Amino acid sequence: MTLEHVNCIYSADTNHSVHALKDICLNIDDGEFIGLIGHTGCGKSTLVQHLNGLIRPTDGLITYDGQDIYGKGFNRKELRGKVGLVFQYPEHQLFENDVFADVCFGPTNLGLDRKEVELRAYEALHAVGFPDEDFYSSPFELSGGQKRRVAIAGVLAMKPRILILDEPTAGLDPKGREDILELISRLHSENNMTIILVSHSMDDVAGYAKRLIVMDHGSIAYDDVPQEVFRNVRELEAMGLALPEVTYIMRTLKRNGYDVDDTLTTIDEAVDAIVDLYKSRHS
Amino acid sequence: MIREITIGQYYDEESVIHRLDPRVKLVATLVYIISIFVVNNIIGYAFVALFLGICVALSRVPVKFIVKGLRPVMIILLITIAFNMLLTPGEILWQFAVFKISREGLKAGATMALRLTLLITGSSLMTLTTTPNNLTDGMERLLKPLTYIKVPVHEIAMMMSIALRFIPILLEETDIIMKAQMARGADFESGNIFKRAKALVPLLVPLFVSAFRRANDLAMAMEARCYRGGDGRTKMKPLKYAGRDYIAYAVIWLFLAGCIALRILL
Amino acid sequence: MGIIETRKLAYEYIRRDDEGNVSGITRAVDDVNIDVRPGEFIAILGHNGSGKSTLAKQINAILTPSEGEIYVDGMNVADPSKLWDIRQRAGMVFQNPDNQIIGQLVEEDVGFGPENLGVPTNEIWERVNESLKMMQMLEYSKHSPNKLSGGQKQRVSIAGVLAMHPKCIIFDEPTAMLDPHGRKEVIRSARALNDVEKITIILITHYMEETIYADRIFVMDKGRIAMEGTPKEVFSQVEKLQELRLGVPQATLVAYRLKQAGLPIPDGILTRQELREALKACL
Repeated sequence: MTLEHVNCIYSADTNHSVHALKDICLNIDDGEFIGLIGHTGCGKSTLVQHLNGLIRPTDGLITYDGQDIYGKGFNRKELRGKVGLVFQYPEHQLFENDVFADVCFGPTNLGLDRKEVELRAYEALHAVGFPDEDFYSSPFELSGGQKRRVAIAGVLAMKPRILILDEPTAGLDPKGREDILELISRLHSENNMTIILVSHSMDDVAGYAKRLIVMDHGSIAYDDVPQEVFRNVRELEAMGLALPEVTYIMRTLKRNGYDVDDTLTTIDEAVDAIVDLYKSRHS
Repeated sequence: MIREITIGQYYDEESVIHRLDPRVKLVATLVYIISIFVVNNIIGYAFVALFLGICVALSRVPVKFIVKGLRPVMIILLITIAFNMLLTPGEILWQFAVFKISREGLKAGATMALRLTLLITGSSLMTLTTTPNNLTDGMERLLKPLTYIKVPVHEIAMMMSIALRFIPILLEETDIIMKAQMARGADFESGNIFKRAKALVPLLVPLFVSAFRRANDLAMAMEARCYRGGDGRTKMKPLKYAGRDYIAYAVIWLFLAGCIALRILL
Repeated sequence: MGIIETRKLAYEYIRRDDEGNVSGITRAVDDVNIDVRPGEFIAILGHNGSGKSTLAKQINAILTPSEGEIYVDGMNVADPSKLWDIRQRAGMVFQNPDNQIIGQLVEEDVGFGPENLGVPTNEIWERVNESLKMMQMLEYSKHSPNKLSGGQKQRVSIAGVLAMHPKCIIFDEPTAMLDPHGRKEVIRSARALNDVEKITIILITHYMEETIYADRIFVMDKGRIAMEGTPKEVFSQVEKLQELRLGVPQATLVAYRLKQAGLPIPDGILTRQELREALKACL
């Protein structure tokens, strides 16, 4: 997908107008794992709702597979099947009597025949690790984490090429958060799905994203691999963002004179680096 | 964005009308509405319109806001006028096939139009100059005597003010749920009336579940802050009459007296 | 006796099937004995479903214990005549920032509690202004709560509880729905209230990083107290914490892994500063 000079202005004709997106230019390729980070209100949710045609830009061009999504004859309903968007607290959209029926909602709206719909629902629920025996329980009786899995399955059942998740770990406890992030990582690696993970926490994204897009007040501030983005500590902090905790640890060490890579982002990397450092000094 | 919507379109301004006690304004609106139906000739309507005009001027609310209140009801207004014109029997002035317009019909139509316009603009003025909170406070005080016949006035007022507080939040939530279901291919726009009604289920069920959840949470929070009904509660912003309120009461009753006089004398 | 004391506290709820028959009994809280001294900052940690929220709601009698007793400032929670005194003494701030704000203006919401207590009008205003000043929200007095950020809304709710002049404030997962900035605001406020106003604080959370300044931590699992101690004592038991599905802070985890790899790192590292010091000492 591409976005060229996309702008989005709310209430443009009143004196309360908000320039939510400013001149956004982006390319999204197949199979990428992108982290979209920004402080609350920077426009990241608005941006992703442009990608599946829910919000129309005030001006600019958005293309999918080379076609203008607002061009003549373009079926935006179909687009929503190809660009799946999981909103924040997705469990709030569950409504059917049982889990299976709810997951069938998406594919049914795509006009597929019953057999295909049920097959997809089955596969999607499996993909999120939802147990068979609970397929017919009421979604309202599940735990928070389970509900969230069902909601994600509901979008997966549409078999999207691009999966966008807006703050998928919001409100979950640490284990729940880990589980969801593992799930997303698996979807990326096993199905080669393009993933866009929207968050305001660097820690969520650090271990998984190969490309970070940082937004600030409606514009893209940085669009690069994590290591490069993390060099701009002062600017990121000024935006109200923090580096991953592990990176801060490495930076602290570096500042104190130790020869370490201060752009590491995961605990494994940090531990290995420090152990190597220790060994080199004490052998 | 949706949270910017102000319910009841309160227009913030410093004016004598704004500063009046809400009870005065509620009573005045009621009296005003009665007066519209008391007068029955041109001079009478002119008198009422003049009174309204003075109040509008005193309120310093721009006229365009007052008129805005008419827009939603324009259709009803036109239908009412049309029905009155076409269905009132009497001396026929114009006829086309089945449709007849009589002199009485014209008069009835015009009268209805005038009354409705005066009514709506007058009520608009009240909501434009009184915050919803103020209104519920005023109603609670006015209806207090009803507690003697076991009407739960305080509870009703509390319910209304909580509802007002949550309307923007629920509206925003509706928007989100709608978008989330649209992201799953839901279609709220096409189809006949049955199809569209069915399409509302994925919107209404989550909304109701969410509303109940909020209500539950809110009840717990209220109890945790020692809410136990109206008994023993004091008020942070108690309603107290000032001099201008008594003058306003006098003015409104004189106005009504004037309308009655005009009806009797003319 | 402490300001909050529980003895063999238990809470059960009965699960019913569709026909209303009893299908099972869950002991959400089981044999809990806690003694909180006045002025303490206590943290109760646990994954979702561990019973921590159920425990919290029994302290101010929102839920009634099935077994055992709770005393708040010497008053038995099961005594109906003391109900309102208990709730004034032990205030509570909840998780959802929107669902605990009643007023249409910030100052009206803060005044709600004192209004309920029958405080005279003048004094209500004194308390409201005092509380808002303490929470640094005085300039927002006449604002509508709808336009505030999550962290600001929670501060308004804290002010609302403060205006009731409680001796103890229970924070029931106050940061679960906030962004990192909002979380910091709330935890900082809680600490300040404890340090400056000497109000007893009970913080219920699943984020370990928030508990490093607590005087004592209780870790719950399956309704029981699984671990208890000072932060240093609790944080040292990394393996047990991971078993209990808690997210150990990154600095603590790195220190633990380094220790396992053979480096002479002490136990109980809580912050990245402590890690740096420990590493400086051994490298």
